[in-house]
Amino acid sequence: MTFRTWNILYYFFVWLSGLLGIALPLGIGFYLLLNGGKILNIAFLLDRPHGSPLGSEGGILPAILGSFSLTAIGLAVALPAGIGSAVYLSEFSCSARLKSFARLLIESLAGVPSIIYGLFGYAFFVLLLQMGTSLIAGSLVMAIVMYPIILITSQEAFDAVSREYREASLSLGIDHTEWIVRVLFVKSFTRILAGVVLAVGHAMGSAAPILFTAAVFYSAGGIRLSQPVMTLPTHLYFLVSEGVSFENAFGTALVLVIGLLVFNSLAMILRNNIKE
Amino acid sequence: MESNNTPIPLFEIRDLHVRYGDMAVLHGINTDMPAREVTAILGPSGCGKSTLLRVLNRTLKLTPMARVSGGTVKYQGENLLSHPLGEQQIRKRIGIVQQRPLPFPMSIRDNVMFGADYHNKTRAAEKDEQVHTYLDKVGLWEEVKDRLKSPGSMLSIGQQQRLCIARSLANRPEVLLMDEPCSALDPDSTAKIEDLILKLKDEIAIVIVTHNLAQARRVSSNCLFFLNGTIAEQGKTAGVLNNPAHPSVQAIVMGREG
Ligand SMILES: Nc1ncnc2c1ncn2[C@@H]1O[C@H](COP(=O)(O)OP(=O)(O)OP(=O)(O)O)[C@@H](O)[C@H]1O
Ligand SMILES: [Mg+2]
Repeated sequence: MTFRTWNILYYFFVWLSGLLGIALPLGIGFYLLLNGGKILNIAFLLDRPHGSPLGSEGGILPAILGSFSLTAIGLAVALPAGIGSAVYLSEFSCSARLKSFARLLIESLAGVPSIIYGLFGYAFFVLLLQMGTSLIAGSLVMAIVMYPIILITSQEAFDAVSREYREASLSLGIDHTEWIVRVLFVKSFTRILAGVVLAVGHAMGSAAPILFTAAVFYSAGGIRLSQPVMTLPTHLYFLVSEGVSFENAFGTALVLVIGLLVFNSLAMILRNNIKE
Repeated sequence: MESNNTPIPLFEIRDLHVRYGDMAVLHGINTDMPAREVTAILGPSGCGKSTLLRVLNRTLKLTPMARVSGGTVKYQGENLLSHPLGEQQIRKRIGIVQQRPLPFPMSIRDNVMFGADYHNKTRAAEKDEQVHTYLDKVGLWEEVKDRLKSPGSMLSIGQQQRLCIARSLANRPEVLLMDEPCSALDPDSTAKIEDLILKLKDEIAIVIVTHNLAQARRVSSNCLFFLNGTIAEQGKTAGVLNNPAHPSVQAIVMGREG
C-alpha cells in the first residue's frame, strides 16, 4: 500500500476513535436520560420507596441520604489520613527504600477489587468489632477505598512541587509546618482536589464495599451511625436483580450520575476560584 | 590592641569538603570572610559556588545525597554546623537569595512578609510599613504598589527576583548570601540592586555570587575566585582581578575584560 492510503486509514482510525470518545459518554448519558428522565421528578427525589414489590413506586430519598452520608463520613476519615500519609512519605521519611516499599503496598491496595474491601469490612468491622451492618461500618470501608487513591494523588502532587520551593521556604528559617501548610499544600491543592474527585466518584458509585457492611433493601430514611442505610448503587442493584422496576432503576442511576456530576462541577468551580 | 585591629572574621572556613553522593564538589576550601565587607564569589559554572552558599546557610542537607564530608566552618567564632542557636535561627540570621527566583503561592505582600511574619508577629499597620520599606529598597514599590494583593507569580522574572530579595531582607538577616541576584535584571534594575548592596553593607555582611567581573569590582572589596571546587585565588577584589597569580584565573580575567 502506498503512503497515501496508510495516511487515509490512519486519519480514519484516529477520527473514529475520537468520535467514540465523545459518542460513548454522550450516548450513555442520553440513554440514561431517556430511560430515567421520565421518572425523575421532585417526588422521586423526596419520597421513600413504596408499592408492592417495594420500590416499584415512590422515591429514593433514603438511598440518596445514605450514599451521601457514607461518602461524606468516609471522606472525612480518608482525606486527613491520606494527605497525612502522603506528607509523611514525601516530607519526613528519610529512607528511599521505605518510601518505595510503602508506595508499592499502597498501589496494591488501590488495585484490590472493591468486593474484597467489602468482605474485609464485613469480617473486621461488622463481625469482629461488632459494629453490625451499619452506616459507620460502611463509611469505614468507604474510607479504605478512598484512602489509597487520595494518598497516591497527594504524594504525586507533593512530588510535583519542585524541591527548590522547599529549599527557598526553609532557607528563611521557618519550620516544616509553615512550609507544608503555606506553600506545599497551596501549590499542590488542585492536584489533590482532582484525586479527591476521583476517589469520591469511585467510592460513591460502587456497591461492593457496602453491600455486606452498610446496605439494606429498605430503610425509612433515618440516618444513624449504628443503623444500616439504603444506598444508590445497592438500591439500583436490588431493583434490577429482583425485577422490581427497570424504570426506577434507570431513575436511580440517573440520580447517581447527576450527583457525581454536581460534585465534580463543584470541585472544578472551587479550583477555578482558588487559581485566581 | 592587636585584637581590636583584627576583629573575628564572619566566616572561617577550614579545609571544607562537600560531596553529592560519590561526587566531590568542594575539596579543601580555606578562607576567612571579613565581617562588614562585601565578598564576591566568582568562577565558572558548576565549580561549587552555590554549594558553598548552601553550606553557609545550612540548607545543604535539603539536597538529597549532599553532605559536608570534612573540614570546619565557623560563624563569628562559633562552629556553624553545630551552632548552639540551632538550624532555624542560623537560617534566619544568614539569609540567602537563591539563583532562581521562586515566589510563593500568595500575594506580593504576603511574599515579602513570609519569613518576617513567622519570626516576629507584627501588627497590620506595621506590616504595611515594612512591605513598603522592603519593596522600596529593591526598587519594586512603584511597580507593584497598586497590586500588592495579586499573586507574586504574576510578576516578570526580574521583578520576581527583586521580590525574593525583599523577602530575604524583610527577614532581617545579619548576613545576606546572594546567588547571582542580577542574572535576570535589566541594567537599570541591576544598578538599583548594586546601590542597595552598597547601602546595606554598613548594616549587614554580604556574600554575592556573580558572573559579572565588573559588578564584583563595583560592589565587593573581598573576592574568592573558584575553580573546580577549590579557591584558586582570593584577596582584595582589585588584587584578584587586576593581577591574579593563577594562570587559569589570569586567562579568564583577561579574556573577559581585555
Ligand atoms: N542536587 C545535586 N545533585 C548532584 N549534583 C549536584 C547537585 N547540585 C549541584 N550539583 C553538582 O555540584 C557541582 C557544583 O554545583 P553548584 O550549583 O554549586 O555550581 P555553581 O558554581 O553554583 O554553578 P553555576 O554558576 O552554574 O550556578 C556541579 O558539578 C553540579 O553538577
Ligand atoms: Mg550556582
